[in-house]
This record gives sequence, structure tokens and C-alpha cells, in this order.
Amino acid sequence: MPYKLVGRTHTFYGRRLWEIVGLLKDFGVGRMVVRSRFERYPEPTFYRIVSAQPEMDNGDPHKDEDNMRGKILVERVFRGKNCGVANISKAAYKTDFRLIHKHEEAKYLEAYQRCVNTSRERKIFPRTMEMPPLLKFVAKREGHASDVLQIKMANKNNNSRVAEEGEEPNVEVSIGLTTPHSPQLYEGVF
Amino acid sequence: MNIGVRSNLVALGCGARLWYPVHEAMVTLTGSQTVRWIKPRWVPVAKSKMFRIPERKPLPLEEEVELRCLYNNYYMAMRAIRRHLCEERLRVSDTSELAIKAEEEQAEHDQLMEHNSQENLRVAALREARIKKEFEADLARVTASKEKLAKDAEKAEEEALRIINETQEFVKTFIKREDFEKAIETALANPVDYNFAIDQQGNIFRGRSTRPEDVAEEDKEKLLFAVQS
Repeated sequence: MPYKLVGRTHTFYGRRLWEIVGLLKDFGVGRMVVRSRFERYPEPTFYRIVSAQPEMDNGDPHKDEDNMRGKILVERVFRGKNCGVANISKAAYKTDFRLIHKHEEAKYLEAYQRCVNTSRERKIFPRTMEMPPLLKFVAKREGHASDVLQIKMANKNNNSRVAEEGEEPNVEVSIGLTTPHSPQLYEGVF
Repeated sequence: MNIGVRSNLVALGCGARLWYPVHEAMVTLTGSQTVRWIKPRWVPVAKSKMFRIPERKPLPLEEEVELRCLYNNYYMAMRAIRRHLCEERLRVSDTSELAIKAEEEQAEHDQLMEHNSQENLRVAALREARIKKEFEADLARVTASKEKLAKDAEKAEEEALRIINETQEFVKTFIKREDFEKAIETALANPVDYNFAIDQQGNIFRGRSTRPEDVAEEDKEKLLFAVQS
């Protein structure tokens, strides 16, 4: 059904996950839901509900008090990568979820399979990077152990990692501006 | 005085009610005042703006990509710098003056701990002796208390026996049922007159109808205090 949206635009589009889950048999275990926030990515992002325990009959309806709490486990596929079973209880109250009809699930699964077969190129960062000029000066004067900075990745789940020993990185890293992704923004600046 | 781009200076009028949004505190000594030509906080949304929907301008894709890349680089560099400085501090602190001082402090701490344990032993010996003494004192107190209780019980028993004996003696004086008539007759035959009178010399005259002249001088009974005086 085509939608004609009126009024202010939102960041979220959809319903609370608890509203969706409360209408389904067995609290929607085995069904597929998506978040509109993650539909901006070209790769498919969806959840398959593993278990749901909504906290029901508490809070006043129409005052954003009901359908707010519970425990829910889902199998998460984020940008074409299966992240395994995840607890999204803290995000389930957001009015950003949409139920996928059973006959539409195949579309997402096919897209997921395509992503699995043709995985994205993983960003490989160098192991070290140059120091900022002043810190370099201080390190030299005070005799620091090294005059380069070690790069560590905080998030292990994303599409980037630090190069192994002797591996060639495919990302350029430096203090200051590197090769810009959008060179047209810098036209006339340099 | 607040002078902004959107403020105008107007002369202070002497009209009864001001139609423009101005506050008394904003009136200056020169007689001029500042008017802010914007909506005060308590005024509701203008009717012309009530249903206006502000446009939400999307960020161009190339700018978004560029900004995200710049932010990522910045946070990665900052994280690396922070880690470097932290590691450097840890490395330096092993051989620094602070570390040497820490060794001295550790030695002093050990010495103090040894002293503390010795002191604990000494105090423990004192405490044991005190507790033993207190225990003995307790025993003595309990024994004395027991003896006193036994003595008190004995005394109470004697007192009880005495009361019983006295009562038994007293009971003997009760009028028996068979002697009841006789006792009444005796009482009626021997009426007791408790009335008496006293004169100014302290003489007591027993009986209701006794007259002072009927009593002989040597038979007169004197009041106790009158006898003493």
C-alpha cells in the first residue's frame, strides 16, 4: 500500500517491536522483522525472532507506557553479515520496526545469500600511524618507547580490521587530511 | 541595556499602557528604553506559524561520506594517542622516582606491619590475662550471690513459719460455732463503754455516765503526756 506521509519527518518509521510481537502467534518466534533505520544500507539488515517475553498489562495505553519493556532475543543479520543471536531488549521499544510478510522473507534471504557469496572488501588498516607533530617532538625529547602510534580496533564486528604482521594494508591513515572520499568538496580549497 | 540587531530605541512615552514588549527594568536613566521585537516566551505560537512544518534538509551523500570518514579518522587517532600516553606512563612509572619511593614505602609498610603484629601479640596476652581474671571474679560473684540467695530463702522460710505459728495461736481465740450463742449472750451481759472525757488537768474519765466527783483522787487516770510532764 503506498503511503503518503504528512507532517514532520521522523528518524524512525514503524511500530514498537512489542506491538508487533503482541499480535503474533507465539510472540512471533521465527518471524522476520526489520528496522527502518537500517534500510539505508544497500546490504540487507533484518532480525529473526528467537524468543520474546513482553511485559504485558502494565502502564497506561496511549501514554507511551505500555509495550515498552520485555526480553527479546533475535538472530541478527546486519549489512549482510550474520551476527548471531543478540539481545535487542533495549531497542525494542523504538517505533522503528516493521514485520516482514512470510511471502516477502525470501527476498531478504536471497539478498543475504548474495551478500554472503560476494562479501564486501574488508578494510585493512595499517598497524601503526604517524604521531602528530608536537607529540612527536615531545616523544623524542622525553625518550618515549616508540615514535609511532599503534592502531587498535575497538569494534570487532564491523567491516574493518588491523593488518596482520607483514600484511599489506589497503587503507591510508595519517594525521591530517588523507585522500578525500569526496574530492569535489575541496575544489578551490587547496 | 540590551542592544541587539533587532532592537530599536524609542522614546519613553507617558501613555497609560505600553503596546510594545518592554520591561520596566530596561528603562534607562536617559529616558530611552530597549524594545526587543521578538516574541516573548509566554506568548503562544503565531497563528501564521502554527501549522508550518520546517523542512528537514538532507545532507548530501558526498558530504556525509566525507564527514564520517573525517570523524572516524579523528577518533581513531585520538584513541591511539591516548593509548600511547597511557602505556608510556606505565612504562616510565616502573623506574621513576615514584617507583623508588614506592619501594621505600613498601619497606616501611612491612616494618610497620611487623611492629603491628608484635603489638597485636602483646595486647592478646594482656587481653587473655584480663579475661581470665574477669572470669574468676565472675565465678566468685556468682558463688557469693548463690550463698546470699540461700540465706534469704532460709530467712523467708523462718518468717513464714513464724507467721503460721502466730496465726495458729490467733485462730485459737476465734469464737466457735457452738459457742456463738454463749458469746453473744456474754457480750450482751457485759456491755463495753468506750466513751471517755478529759478535763483540763489531763484526767481521763472512762464511761459515758461517769462523773468527775464520783472518782477518787487516787483512782484518776492521767493522760500519757500529762503523766510525763
